Amino acid sequence: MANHATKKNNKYSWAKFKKDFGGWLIMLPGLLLFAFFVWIPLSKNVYMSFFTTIGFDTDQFAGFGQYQRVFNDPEFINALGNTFEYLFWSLIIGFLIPIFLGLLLSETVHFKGFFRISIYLPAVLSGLATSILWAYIYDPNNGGMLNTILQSLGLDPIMWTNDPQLAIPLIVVSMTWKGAGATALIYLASLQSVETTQYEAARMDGASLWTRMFKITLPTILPTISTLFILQIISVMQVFYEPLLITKGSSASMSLLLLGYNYAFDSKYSGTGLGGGGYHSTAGQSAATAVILTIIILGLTAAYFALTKVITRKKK
Amino acid sequence: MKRTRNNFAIGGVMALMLLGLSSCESDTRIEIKLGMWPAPQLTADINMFNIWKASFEEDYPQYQIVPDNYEYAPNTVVSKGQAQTLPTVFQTWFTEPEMLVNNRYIRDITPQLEELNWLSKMDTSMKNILTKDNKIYGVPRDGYGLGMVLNLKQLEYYEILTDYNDDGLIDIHDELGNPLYPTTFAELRTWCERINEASFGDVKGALILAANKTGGWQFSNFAWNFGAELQKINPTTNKWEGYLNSPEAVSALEFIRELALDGLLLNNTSAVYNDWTSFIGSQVCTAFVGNDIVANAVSQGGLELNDIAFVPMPAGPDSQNALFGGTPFVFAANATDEQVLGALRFLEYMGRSPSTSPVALKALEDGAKLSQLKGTPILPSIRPWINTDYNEAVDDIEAQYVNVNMDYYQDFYDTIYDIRHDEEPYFTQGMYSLLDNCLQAVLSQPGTANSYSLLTTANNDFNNQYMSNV
Amino acid sequence: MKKHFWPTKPHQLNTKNDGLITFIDYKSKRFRILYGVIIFLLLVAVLTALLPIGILFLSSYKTTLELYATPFQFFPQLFEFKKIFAVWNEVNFGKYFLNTLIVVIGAAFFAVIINGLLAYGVAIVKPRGYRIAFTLIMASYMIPTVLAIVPLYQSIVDLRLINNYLPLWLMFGANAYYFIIFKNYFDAIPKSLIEAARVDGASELRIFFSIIIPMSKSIIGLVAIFAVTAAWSDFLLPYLVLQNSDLQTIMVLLFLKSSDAQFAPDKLLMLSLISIIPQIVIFFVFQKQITGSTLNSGLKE
Repeated sequence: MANHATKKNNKYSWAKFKKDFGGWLIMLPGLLLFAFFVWIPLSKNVYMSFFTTIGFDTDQFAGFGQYQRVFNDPEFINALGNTFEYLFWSLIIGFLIPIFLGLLLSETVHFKGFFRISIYLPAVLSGLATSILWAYIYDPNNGGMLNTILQSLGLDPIMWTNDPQLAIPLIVVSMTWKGAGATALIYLASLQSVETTQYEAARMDGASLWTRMFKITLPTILPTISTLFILQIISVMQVFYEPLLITKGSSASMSLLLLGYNYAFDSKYSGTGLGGGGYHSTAGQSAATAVILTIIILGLTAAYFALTKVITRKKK
Repeated sequence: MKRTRNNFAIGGVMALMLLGLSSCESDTRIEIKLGMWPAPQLTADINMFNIWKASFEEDYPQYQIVPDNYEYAPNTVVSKGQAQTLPTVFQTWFTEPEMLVNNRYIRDITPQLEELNWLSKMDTSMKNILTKDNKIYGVPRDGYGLGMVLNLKQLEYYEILTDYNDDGLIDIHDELGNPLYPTTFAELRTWCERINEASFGDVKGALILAANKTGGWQFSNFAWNFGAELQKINPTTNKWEGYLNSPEAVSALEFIRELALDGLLLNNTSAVYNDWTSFIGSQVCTAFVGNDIVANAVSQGGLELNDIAFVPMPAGPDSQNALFGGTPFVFAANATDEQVLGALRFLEYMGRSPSTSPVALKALEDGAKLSQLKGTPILPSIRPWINTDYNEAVDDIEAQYVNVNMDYYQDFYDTIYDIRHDEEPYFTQGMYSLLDNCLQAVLSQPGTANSYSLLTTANNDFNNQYMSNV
Repeated sequence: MKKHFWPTKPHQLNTKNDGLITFIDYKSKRFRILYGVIIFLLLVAVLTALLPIGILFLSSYKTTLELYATPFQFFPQLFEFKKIFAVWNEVNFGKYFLNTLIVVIGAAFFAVIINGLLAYGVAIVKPRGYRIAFTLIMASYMIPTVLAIVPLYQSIVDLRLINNYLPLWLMFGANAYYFIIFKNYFDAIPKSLIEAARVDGASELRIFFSIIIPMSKSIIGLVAIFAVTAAWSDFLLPYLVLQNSDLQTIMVLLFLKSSDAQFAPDKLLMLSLISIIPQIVIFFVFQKQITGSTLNSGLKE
């Protein structure tokens, strides 16, 4: 009996080893690329955030010095606040619209294809090109499109993206314009998975439209809503291109990721880095900013999972 | 038949191989990449450079000149510097060499300058800016001083200035030679009021910038004239600090705020330095610019040669200063000694060296002729070299080619050497950036902006972020 | 099958049997009005989506003066179609177009092959410890490349790959989103097929190329389209890596011109328009796959 088992084990091992080895070999190119483009740079960032830097090279160990420096920097505090403001506005302006559109789409029988294609189109266009367009629309000088319209109507021009209160909501509008259609189609797919029989049963029980919507439709798409909710949070926290291209990095619109990029790539910060003597660059600060942003995102994600767990447990 | 065809084929293949081999033959010449090569759309300038390039390569066959146009900007220099793809020689601003040296993007060229014997001929003030630890990191190209450019045509239209002696030229001095233009900020304010009234608010008297660090850059000049010292050594701590919120600086900002409050300035907070050419034509009567780009009013702004005058920066309640800056040539850190030497030698062929050899003189003339061709004003320059033969040669050329009514410019050149004031030494671009914010606030909300608190915030930020490193 | 936007069969509200509101509801007038509102709102959405693009198109054809002129005119006064060619020639767009093609084709290639192999490994082969790889890949979904751009840039510099297309191509081979698409698709392949091939003695690699790839044509096409669109729009890494103007892509050109004060605003808008026309074309040609895919890819967390 034992012999039989070990013989079987050996045969199993060798074949499986070949398969395992082959499997890893197949995945090797992909893993190497992920390592080079994602895992190694992220780790290097964490490493670099604990050192002073000259250029992009580490110099001396600095403990949490870079983090202290970052938290003391009013530009960082500003960018932090702004990034959360982006989140706030994007959830208010941009989260419900796709759900609403998805609902509308699922209920039409005419021109469905036309609607789907039209609202999806902005999502495939280059963000750079559309940002240039929105920069022109929002241009706070007399030449901007909106201001030209206002002046034609005899009204005063508005400062649009120069106005600290308006800058971020306006940018969020352009982000919503770009992405709402694609997200709506995801909701559409989810909505189409609701079974007709459920609606029929509800109807037989005399349920009204509102009841049907809230008792059947919404609960069914709730997982999708929930997933897209956290995905949107993760995505908006990383806003980078819009402040760079529409408002050219003004302090009213500066985001954390863009600030981190600037710390590294804008020489106006050179020589102000931790370490003194005029020699040290702010690449370490950039790394610290990136790590902080990552921790915030992971924190929000963890909070989200915990929350959903609590809610599902409560339901039971 | 078959044999000839085969022979043909073999011969063809061999010919191709030879061709391939010969094109593979590596160029053993020393490559010099020029960052100051003109941008692609400036065809006339490129022609001029090509002539110089050909002449240089003929006289020095060991070098090859490669165009590598690079317009310096703080947010592009880092990626190029890190990748070591900066051109062999490129132009930057006087505020930059310290930072570039610290980041190891540019190299020391003292030995090469000694070899060519240029060191003693460099303007001392400019040489100081380029020196660190007794090593020289660049070659000055030119200097510029800030002054005030006037659109005479508009001023005449609104009857601020006239041609009272009927010589066909609008006069900016009276019969006794006293200036009719503002020589103080108080007079400037009066001008703004008159222009604003005469034009019913369509045209403003002055252009105050507030964006892309150009606002802060200009503002530092105004602040000096109100008596401010923006950076100095704190006597108690013996360290350099920023004093952006000194009472004098606050007065300067208040002056601007009051202009904005009374509607005497343009409603534009995103204008940057290069925009002045579009504004000077129809929206403002004066602008604060450097003498090196006054000519752009004609080449880009569409004005006529004698429509503009350029006068000294008005004095403030305290003193009269003109911001003095300039562009130096600096050299990439990974440039070899031979490349540096070659680049310096090419400067001679551009007319940017202290040499008065025939090639150098020809280059100076070429430059002047190009400006003539473009129809742009040719003004005297502020010279980076102090050797007599150079200055005499340039004097000659200027006498020949300067094509403007010097009456409109003489005051500036008479005063600039006395009132020139170097830019603040530390983290200048960062300081300008923070001052931009103050200006933006004051220009967009003059009714509620508090100059003192704005400048205090800027000063705190500046000292915490930047000056704590000195 | 001809493609058109309207349904081939006239759908009547009287026969609508699925969804929240069915034909029973539509018997009442109230609901018919509600349907009208639904269609109206969707038309508003379509208008909102398409209007800015229309603005871009029209504004590109205005002159700079017209752009700033009051009163505001929607249409340019002089519709000179040739303006596209003028701007094209002025910036030498052809060179950038070619470079972009090189980048997107390489990107699509690596996106398909590398991510496909990865997904194959995780979904089908499942070697021991594959879960580690899977978790690490999914973790990178949450953290974007931009966060790590500084060390990445330095690595590229150290490997002397500046002014080289290779980093741009290879970056698309490390994409968690494409990986997920492939993985979901491969998960649905009947295991019996694979087992049969294994029994026949085929190596895993052979299985991938001779069985999986031929039956994944549609999903390969989908990932390729996504990669092409993304690579076309990609700007940060190309901007940093391609410093030699002979190698630069369209987006790099667009960015450089947008920060160039000398480049007129109307030309900038025209350039933006020219840059997105290929994307619009690709979208319309492949719209069925693109909009249909969102129904398939799903979202697994």
